[in-house]
Amino acid sequence: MSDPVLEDGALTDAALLGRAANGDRQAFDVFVERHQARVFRFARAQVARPDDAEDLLQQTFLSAWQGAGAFRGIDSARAWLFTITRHAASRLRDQHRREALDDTRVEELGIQAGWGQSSPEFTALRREIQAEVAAALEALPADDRAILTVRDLEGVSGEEAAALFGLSLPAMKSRLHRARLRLAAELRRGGRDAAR
Amino acid sequence: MLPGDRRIAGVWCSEVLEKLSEYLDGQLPSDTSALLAGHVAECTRCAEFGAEFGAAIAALRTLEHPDPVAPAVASRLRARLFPPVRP
Repeated sequence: MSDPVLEDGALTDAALLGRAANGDRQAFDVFVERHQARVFRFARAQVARPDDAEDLLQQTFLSAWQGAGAFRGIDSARAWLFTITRHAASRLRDQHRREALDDTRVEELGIQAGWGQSSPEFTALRREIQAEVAAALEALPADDRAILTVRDLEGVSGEEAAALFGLSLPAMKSRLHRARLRLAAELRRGGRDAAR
Repeated sequence: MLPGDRRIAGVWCSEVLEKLSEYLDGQLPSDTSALLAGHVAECTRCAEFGAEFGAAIAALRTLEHPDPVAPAVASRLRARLFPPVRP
């Protein structure tokens, strides 16, 4: 039976990993090429030092290569890779931070993000905001960057994201909301600085 | 406490703020979502902030596609995955 393929004729992730599990380096190289940019971005979201991010990238694909046979085809390969990256990042950082509760009050974050303050300059900047968003994202704490990357940039489902971060679904949603508020606050801060 | 917190259409501004992500993501039960929509329709502050916050999320999502990995990084990754075999 032939391996399953995507619409463009390329092998699916599951097929590539199936071949990789049998030692097919070429198949794994295609898999790496397909996912390396997303994994590297996720790695950069988790650690401050570029060297650490690159190390996470390498550890992730090394683990994936060695454990390709463990991939269950029903899962998303992207979420599977992110899980590996996340575990590697946890080993690099303080293990206990993963479960740290973000108890910042939403009201406080909302005020920082501009609730109740009119800001025409923000709206004016909206269309040219991509660079500002990238900078704002970069300025956030690692946990915020990680969850925004997974949910809003990568579009990983809420359930998968919750599992990835070892959180319940409501806790993941709460963390995401706070991260978005911090991003909005950072954007507002950046917009104000640019208007000066 | 949220300064200027007001109860409009049976919902407080602080409740809207608390649930804003789920509201914008369409993840609230329809009756809760309708309650919040009723508040936002009559509350200028929440409407303005909701628009800005939604714009920030939309702008974030414009970064959907990551930059390609630098050739040197990709090269080091391959070298670690498949170290050259020494004769």
